[in-house]
Amino acid sequence: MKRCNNTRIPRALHFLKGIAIASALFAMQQPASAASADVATAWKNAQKLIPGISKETVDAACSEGSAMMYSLILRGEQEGIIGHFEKLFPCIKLKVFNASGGVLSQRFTNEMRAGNSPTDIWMNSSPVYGSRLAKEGLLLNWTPPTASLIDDLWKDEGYWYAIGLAHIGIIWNTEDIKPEQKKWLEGVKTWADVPNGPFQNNTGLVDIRAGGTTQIFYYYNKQKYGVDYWKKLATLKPTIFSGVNPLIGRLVAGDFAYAAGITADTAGATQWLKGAPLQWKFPEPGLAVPYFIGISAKAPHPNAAKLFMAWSLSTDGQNSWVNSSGLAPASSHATDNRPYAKKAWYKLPKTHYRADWQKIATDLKADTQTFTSIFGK
Amino acid sequence: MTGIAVGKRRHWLKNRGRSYSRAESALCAVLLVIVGALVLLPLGYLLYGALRDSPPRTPNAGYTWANLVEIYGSLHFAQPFLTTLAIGISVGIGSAILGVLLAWIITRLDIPRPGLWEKLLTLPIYFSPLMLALAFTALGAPRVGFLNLIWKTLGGDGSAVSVYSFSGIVFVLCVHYAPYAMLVLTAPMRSISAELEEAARVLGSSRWHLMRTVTIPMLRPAIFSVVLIVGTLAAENFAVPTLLGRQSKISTIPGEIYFWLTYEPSNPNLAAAAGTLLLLVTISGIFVYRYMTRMSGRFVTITGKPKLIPRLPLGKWRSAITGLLAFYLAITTILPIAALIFGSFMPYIGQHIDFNKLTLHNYQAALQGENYSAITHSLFLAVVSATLITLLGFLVSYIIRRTSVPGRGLLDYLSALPIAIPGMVLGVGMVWAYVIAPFGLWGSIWILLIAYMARFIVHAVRAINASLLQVSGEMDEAARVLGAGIFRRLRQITMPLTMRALLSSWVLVAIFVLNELSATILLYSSKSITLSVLTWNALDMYGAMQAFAFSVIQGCMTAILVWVSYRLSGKATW
Repeated sequence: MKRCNNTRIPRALHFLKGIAIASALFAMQQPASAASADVATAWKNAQKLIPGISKETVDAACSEGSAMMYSLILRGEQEGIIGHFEKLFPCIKLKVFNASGGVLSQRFTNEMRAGNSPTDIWMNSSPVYGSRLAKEGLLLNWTPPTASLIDDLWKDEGYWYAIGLAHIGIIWNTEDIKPEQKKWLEGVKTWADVPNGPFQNNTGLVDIRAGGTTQIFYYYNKQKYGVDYWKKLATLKPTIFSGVNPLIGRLVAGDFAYAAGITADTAGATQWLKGAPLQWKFPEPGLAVPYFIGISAKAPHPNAAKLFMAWSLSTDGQNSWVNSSGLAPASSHATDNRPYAKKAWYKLPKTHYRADWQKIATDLKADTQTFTSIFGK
Repeated sequence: MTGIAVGKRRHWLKNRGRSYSRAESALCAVLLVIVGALVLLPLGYLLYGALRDSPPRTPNAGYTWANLVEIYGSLHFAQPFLTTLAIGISVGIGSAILGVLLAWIITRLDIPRPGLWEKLLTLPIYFSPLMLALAFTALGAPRVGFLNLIWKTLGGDGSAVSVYSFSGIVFVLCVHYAPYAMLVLTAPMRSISAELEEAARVLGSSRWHLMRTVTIPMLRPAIFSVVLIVGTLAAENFAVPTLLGRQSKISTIPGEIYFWLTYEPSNPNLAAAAGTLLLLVTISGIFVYRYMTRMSGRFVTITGKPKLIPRLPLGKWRSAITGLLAFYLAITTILPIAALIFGSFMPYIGQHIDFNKLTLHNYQAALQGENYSAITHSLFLAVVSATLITLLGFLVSYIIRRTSVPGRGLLDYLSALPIAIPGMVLGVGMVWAYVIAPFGLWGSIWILLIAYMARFIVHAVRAINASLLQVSGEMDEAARVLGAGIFRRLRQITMPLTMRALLSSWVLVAIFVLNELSATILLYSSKSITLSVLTWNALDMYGAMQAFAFSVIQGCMTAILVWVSYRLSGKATW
């Protein structure tokens, strides 16, 4: 058999070899030029939106390239927040793990204590739990340059900062109420009015154990008006639900007409945006629960996490969180463009109750027993 | 027999006068290690967690009896415990009765197209109990459910039905589990040899007497198995009693566990303690089951070549029986599935049905972005888990039923233990056990595979047990005497004889895996999200209608899996 000789290789093969080498060189060039353009874009946007953030942090964040956020389940998060952040900072990819508050907390703490956590950013809505983890050293102590934009009521300085607020209010099915009920609803000003509603056998409430958003409602009114307030609510013979979303589903379906102690901007508004006949208001003083983020003390990508947190607290970040997730602003600098916020019937409370979250947590066991004895198990 | 070496020596050992080989002993040991690791590791952490005041690895945590005292020592949980037991017993017995009736109609009566009816009657399993509960609330909610709206239109007063009640909970769970009972009972019912029934008829027994004294007793192990498994699954279900029972002040132990694990402040240690309560109840049930089936030789019906029983001609009753089946199908399957599919095209369910509001938005959202990976994850997990679990269950079942090696009783208990633990509580045990796992296991899809193997091996073992009880050990003994090794006997004798049960088991496990939520919700990560998690998250945030869309997609996937397995089952021979 004749030996293969270089001179015998067809020209076409040489040509193809050349194309392949050129393509490989071009491809090798692409990531680098793409990467440096992304870093430049990130720094440009960081300077504009996050005054005070250092270039070292942004460069380090870009070389880390990604961050993992353990997040509560929020509507519009993927496109409105993650997508927007990645457009502003294209050198960073955000991965998100969504779950409910209890599951998220258990997961985060178990992983951190085992030294096996992929989390960079942790979200929660239990201030007492957040502060407890901070004390245990599971959250990074770092103050973003945009921290001052968040009101004092909604942060544990150096550890966690609110990206939005879930206000608690009353909500009703506009197709299911009579004129006298409508008149009564328009007259509700404070929480003292709420149990007096003409909605016998036509009311929904959420179980006190269903999280901080229900606990603050029951705790505040018990503290202000005594246990008699709960007894008055019980005279409405309410249907008790295990969570807000099942309640909202039945409210929209017309099982009952009125519900109290509800996070209307999240659960209620999700259905309102689809056309459900709902309306809600927030009696005074405002009861609100902060949805906050903190950075994991052992974050695999600490700089990317810092950039994300700093951006989240900036005006641009706050606008994204508010207008995508539906949470109310935690910063007075944010612009509220939520569709229902423009409605004449929608008004945020003028004042806010300063909750003692530690006391709420301490009293929960006794309060649960009282709740059960009044509303039944 | 050709191909079997003659005169090859085996080392035989003795256990209470019965002999077993070293190979059987070695296989039992390996299975004990595998099943033991799968089951005891999370269970061990669970028991450990029940005795601690904080989750494992919490700084300054200590031992305490407080959790166990609160569960066992206070009357506070007596009512939820009794309600849990009542649900379990009612659903177990109800599903078994329905399962026997349906299996008998499908296998023994001369109805038209029995194969098609068998497939149609299993449809409710394709949907998780939660989705069925949601579908039935759309139908049976007081005042506003579709059925009550029709009742009002016909001039009725109040509500004709209310799904928010104890009977509503039992009804929904029976609808879901009766097909499971039917599937488990169909294989042994088909396997009963004709000779026994022919002998009884020749001696003058009526059909009813035959059913009562021959057929039902022969099925006793399978029926007990169904009552035990379905009863435990129903008792440990948290979603249906929570959704349908809260409004009627019905609370259950799994419902309480759900609160302790998912809402803040969470209390996983108390949840672990409550899990031990259900564990004790089920261990008692397993003990009763083993006692009732200890004389397994009495249930043997397949020896050598079995003869199949001819179908009973129905004559003028054919239309009536078929009509009854159609009515049952309409109530348990067509109406709720129609409600589910209709709801998946609505943005929300209001007081009036407005066809102008029909939308594809729920499906558009369901098929976007990372949701595709949830579909592939779910399929992968269902197929791989079902295959591994069926294989493992087959080996376990063989060791328990066909050998006399020491340790097989322990293997029986070990494989059945996970059924006693609510999936969510087992998930907590697995989080505590596997969070330190090396090689990137934690957070990967493989951790879900391990969880499903631990959780569902009992179904494979029970289904194959019931079939093995009816297969005589004589053929296996004969092959062993002639020198065939254990794996050859498994491959060439036992597996072909139990192929229908293996395929049934595969289908069941695949469906359970597809619908599994309670452990998955604690163990999944962004790299292993499944359809059931997407459904639950949608329920939690975007509303029931989005969850309906995910559920319909899940149902379609289940239907494809079942269709494939039925095709394979048609090729299975004696």
